[in-house]
Amino acid sequence: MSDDLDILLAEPLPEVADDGFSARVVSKIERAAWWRERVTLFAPVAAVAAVLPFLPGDELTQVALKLTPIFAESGAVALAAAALALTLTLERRLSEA
Amino acid sequence: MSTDGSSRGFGRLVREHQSKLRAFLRRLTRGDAALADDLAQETFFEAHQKLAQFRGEGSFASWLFGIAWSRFLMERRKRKEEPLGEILDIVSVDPRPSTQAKLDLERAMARLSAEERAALTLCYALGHSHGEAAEILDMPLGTVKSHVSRGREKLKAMLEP
Repeated sequence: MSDDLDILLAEPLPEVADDGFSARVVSKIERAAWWRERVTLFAPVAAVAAVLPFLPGDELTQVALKLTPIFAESGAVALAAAALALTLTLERRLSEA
Repeated sequence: MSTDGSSRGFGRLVREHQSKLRAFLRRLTRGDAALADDLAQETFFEAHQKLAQFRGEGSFASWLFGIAWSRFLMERRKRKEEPLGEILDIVSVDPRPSTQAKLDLERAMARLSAEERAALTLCYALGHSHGEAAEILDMPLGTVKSHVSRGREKLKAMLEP
């Protein structure tokens, strides 16, 4: 009996046909990744939007009004902003590649 | 073996391991194919999320089966184990072609504890060493050996004519 039992126990488990199981798993993983990407992208925006009403709006507006002409007239600031934008775009393209 | 985490590469791993993992979980759940497949899906999902933690010290299959075992334990904690009678019905209507001896073994297996079923399946049907089974089940080696030996003795008594 012992030998028979050992042989029986050692038989490989029956094959389970895939029947779309792997595709369902991969699709679930891709859906989750899609949502994660959206959340990562929009969470900071949502956080800023949530905090915005509590910020001293008038003071910020005054500061922005004072700084805008200075930035607009400064070539160095414009160059720096362009460089920053280019760097961020390049980094995003590289991470997507 | 691909562990790059991309969904296409991971899809290959799923296709490679799904049959054994689902069969293992079916045995743990005493033939409940739907529950076993849910657990298998959760296992692969968790494995994908934790892929960076897999350091390649053991085999990928062992790591995967370890996740499956802990998923099964969580599920068992969530719900009380179903009465044996209902589960034996599921086993007996399993559509897989089976010899009488195999069917008897599955029925007898269903009467063992989950730990005994897991240890016996890993060490016999899946060909893992006792040490590997101990790692997968996160148990001391001696405990695995005693589950194997006790489970085997119980099966022997149940299957004896």
